Amino acid sequence: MKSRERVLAAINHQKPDRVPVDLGGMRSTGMMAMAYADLKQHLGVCEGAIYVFDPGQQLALIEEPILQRYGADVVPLDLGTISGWKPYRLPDGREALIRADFEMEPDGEGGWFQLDGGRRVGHMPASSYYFDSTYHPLAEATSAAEVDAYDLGEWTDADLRRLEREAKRLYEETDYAIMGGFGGAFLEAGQGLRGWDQFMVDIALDRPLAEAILHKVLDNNRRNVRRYLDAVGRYIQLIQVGGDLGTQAGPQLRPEWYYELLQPLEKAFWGEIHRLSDVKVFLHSCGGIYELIPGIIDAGCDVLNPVQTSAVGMEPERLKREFGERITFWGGGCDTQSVLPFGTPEQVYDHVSQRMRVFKPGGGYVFCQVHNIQAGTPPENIEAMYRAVHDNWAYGD
Amino acid sequence: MAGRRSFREMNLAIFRGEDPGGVLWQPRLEFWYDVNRKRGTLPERYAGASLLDLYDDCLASVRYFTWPLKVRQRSVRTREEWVGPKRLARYWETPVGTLREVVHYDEWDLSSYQDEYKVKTADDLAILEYIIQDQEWSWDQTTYEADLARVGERGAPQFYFRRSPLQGLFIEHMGFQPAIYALHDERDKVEHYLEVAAAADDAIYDLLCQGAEPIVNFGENIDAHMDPPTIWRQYHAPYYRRRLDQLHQAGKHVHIHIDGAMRPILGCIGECPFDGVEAATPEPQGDVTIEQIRQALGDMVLLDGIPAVYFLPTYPVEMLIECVQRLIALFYPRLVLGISDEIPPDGLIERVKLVGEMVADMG
Repeated sequence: MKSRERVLAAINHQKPDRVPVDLGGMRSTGMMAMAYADLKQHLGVCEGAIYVFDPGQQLALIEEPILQRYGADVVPLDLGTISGWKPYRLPDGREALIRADFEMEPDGEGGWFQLDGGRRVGHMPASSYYFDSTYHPLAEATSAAEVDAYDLGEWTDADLRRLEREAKRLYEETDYAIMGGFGGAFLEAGQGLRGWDQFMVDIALDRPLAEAILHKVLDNNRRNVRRYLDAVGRYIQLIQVGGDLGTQAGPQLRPEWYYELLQPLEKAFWGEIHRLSDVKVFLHSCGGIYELIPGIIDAGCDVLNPVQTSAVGMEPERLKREFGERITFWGGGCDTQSVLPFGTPEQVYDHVSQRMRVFKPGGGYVFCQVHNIQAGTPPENIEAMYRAVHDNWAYGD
Repeated sequence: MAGRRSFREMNLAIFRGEDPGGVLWQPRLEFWYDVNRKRGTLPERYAGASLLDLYDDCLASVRYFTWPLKVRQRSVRTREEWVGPKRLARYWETPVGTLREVVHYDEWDLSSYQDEYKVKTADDLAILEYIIQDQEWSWDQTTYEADLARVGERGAPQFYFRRSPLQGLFIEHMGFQPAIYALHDERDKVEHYLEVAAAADDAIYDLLCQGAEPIVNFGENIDAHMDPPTIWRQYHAPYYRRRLDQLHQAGKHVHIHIDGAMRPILGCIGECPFDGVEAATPEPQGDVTIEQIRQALGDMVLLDGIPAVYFLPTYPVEMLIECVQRLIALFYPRLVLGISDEIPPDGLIERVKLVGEMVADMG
């Protein structure tokens, strides 16, 4: 089977020849650049470079030799990979390239500010490997009118044409399944516009303001996705939507608030995607979201990622048993909080083998570790993870 | 300290807006001392040393050393029982119902957190209202004078007391998440409690205004993740302004303890006329830069400012030294230099002494 067929078979809950694999198909299934540099060095892969296509998370573009080595089946359609490159130094000082349109300036303390049109919108302190978001444009808003007046922005025609060209190239010149990195979150969008804390308090104490923001986001998402799918919908197989609904300890908000406030928006938005195309809806949501999964499925989600099995309520066996026939799990294959970075290769191998035995039966599974592989993860453990995948991925007859 | 003002005089001068004549180094060492003494890990040179000996050796001033406010329940019956290792249940038995909380003590019995909050539902707030209205506050002048005599010129008397009504609900009585949900579900009951609690605080503020101590701390433990601008402006700020007005009229200086995330509320802090902010924590431990703190505080006094992690061996001492120099350059004389907010038990006490020597050398 070709990669594209394999991924679609899995999502359609048919048994492919083997479990499909994702490494770097979107911005939560990849690897931080420092870990990637360590891995390439460990494997003796000298060609290419370290391409940081997601500066905020310091994510590396996974290159062809690594995709081939691990049997990856998915590639990203992402502006970050086609915006050109410029020289950069990773936080540990190693040479790399970063997307050419990323603006930054020193903070004077060994860290960096991220800029957007000259405005400081993010900050990576000297001791950090991430840019934290520091600008929330509607932080001071107090009325729906102020929300209404704010321009959320749209895809530009130029960006859509670039994406269209790249999607066509990937579709015609490779066999990979193509993941369109769209975004289109609701809760996370509100948190970005207002600040995480403020938006959560808005939901509790100023529901009209929260609803005004969310409905504006919905309108914008629908408008954007129509144009996006018109440009690339015939080439991509998956569209990634966001965002995080959970925490380590369970849902970010009461499940009934999700069902009354957020799920109708998801239903409207994802329904629009299904009406306009055959593209599968891929939801990335971290955290413990067990109570929300029935609603996520009902709203039209086809694929759930990253399946954070270390969070409360996310036991793999129960997820597979209760939801495995109705949604495709894309992740959950290896814990990246403890096992992958801190376990021994033997522990990683056993852990991943066990996860494959849980998630593989009956299709509906794409292997991926839980979220991105973090800086400092030993390459030996990454190798052990994929050894376990390869030893367990065949479906047979 | 010959030729210099005493630490107590320097401390008062800073809040009066006068030149203190040098940098006041006022780290909080109590937890470090108590834990290390209890687990037998005090450095050899401090064997037999008292806490005040430690302060003297580190060339440091003492911030908190007296708690003269006392409270008793007039009719509410209170009792305690151990319900597990390190787990203590407390009961408040009133004619309108009983509240129970369970606190969990640390390995050394020096700090605790709530395993179970006393207020489980908004209906329990009526019992809490009864309890706080049943309280009688008094000023223990004997203890106060004894504490002053014990500490002498090492610092000016100041202390913290119970938190403002909503912050108390978040941290002590109900927990943040249940309190937020209660505000959504049964706002009338919660806001009624806040009014009752604010009125019950009158007794405390009457005593504070009559007392001799010139500096008062609002030990709020503000964290912008818990107290974003809406909460600050809608609930905290009106209370603070009212109490600040009261205390300022009585000639007191007031600082507030903000030891959590700050960035979202940087623009709110200056809206309340505090005289100082305590425990503001810059990067890499906090979420703001020293410059952002400086801008947000305006003319207020910064108390502390050095991230506690700089006292851990994982951070090079040069970072600590540079931080101290920048804090002094940016804030002096509106500065009570200290640690945000305490040196952890595994912190290097030699670094505390090093800072003491740095500021002593500056004269």
